[in-house]
Amino acid sequence: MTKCAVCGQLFALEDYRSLSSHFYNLAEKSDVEHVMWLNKNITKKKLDETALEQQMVDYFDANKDIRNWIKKRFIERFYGKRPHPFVLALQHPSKATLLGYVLEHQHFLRQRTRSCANIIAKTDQVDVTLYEIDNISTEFGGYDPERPSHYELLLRMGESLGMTRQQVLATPPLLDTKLAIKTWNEIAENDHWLETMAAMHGLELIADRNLKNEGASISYFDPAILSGNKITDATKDFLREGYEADVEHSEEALDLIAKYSSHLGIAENIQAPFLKSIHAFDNYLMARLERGKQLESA
Amino acid sequence: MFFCCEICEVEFRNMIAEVKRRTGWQTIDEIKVNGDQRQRECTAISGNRSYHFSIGFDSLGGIRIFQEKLAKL
Repeated sequence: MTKCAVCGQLFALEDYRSLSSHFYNLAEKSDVEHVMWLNKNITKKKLDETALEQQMVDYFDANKDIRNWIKKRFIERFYGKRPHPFVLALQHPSKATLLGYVLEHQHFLRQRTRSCANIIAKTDQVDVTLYEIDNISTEFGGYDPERPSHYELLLRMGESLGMTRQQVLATPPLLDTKLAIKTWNEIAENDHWLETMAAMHGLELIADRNLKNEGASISYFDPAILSGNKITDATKDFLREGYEADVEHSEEALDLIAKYSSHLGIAENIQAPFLKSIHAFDNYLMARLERGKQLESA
Repeated sequence: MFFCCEICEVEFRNMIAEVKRRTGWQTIDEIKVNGDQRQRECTAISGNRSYHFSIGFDSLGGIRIFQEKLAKL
């Protein structure tokens, strides 16, 4: 890792001693963001610098396999022993949970398009450009009436649950959605295009049903709900689209990330923005849940 | 009391204020906290009374979710 996942400070390649000193010193000063990062990713216990350095090595050493490192950290965060509460709620979702999803996810999809456009603007690789164009079309633009975008399917899901398109589009994001969007926008504007790819497309692992074969404790939702009668058809269309498309999207993105991180020699660079992104995503998923709870108690 | 960072202090103050508001208690003798950063399962104790709740905080320490678990005694 060459960057601090919190503040972006740069360190020489694999200089975990300097990185751990950086975190140690800031934790001593009770710096909020660095303390929280240590608590959530390394340990809640106070360690001496030597012990912290070893923990950092164990955490960041990808063993030359950045693709598996990304999946491992993602599964650990969202699909570990304590799966993310939003994922638990989505197993058999209530109407409120789904509407919370709609109201916050519209903002995510709009930001995602901007982030992917930034990748296109910065890269000189044709396969990356074509991948991003396809991703933007699938997620936001749509191809034709037979293949509407995820964004369009999301709005239809909201309508099927009793909320008009106008109501959805007029709803501003909750705080943690807004802060997450700010994080993704900053990564897209300031970081290398490959780092932005890792940050944005790593998130598609959330709907990758194959993660159950790689250690995930549960899947994004119980697939049985797609064939039952507990959710609307428009909801099934939206969830099914992610269920089917996101496996390919995330695998293809990981292929490109592995390829170019090797070609460019920057595998370690992408770890920090990826971690920053999944931290934002964690909070953003909680915002979806929070919105659902607000609707339930309204 | 000691906190690892100012956000935790903000969260703690907000939690205490919310519990007092909902229970009407003047003082809280003890708070037991379990769970993780996404959602805490807590029990507040005042004298021989206890109040169970779950609570979650947003990125600035504000209360995101608050759910009473059992009726207060």
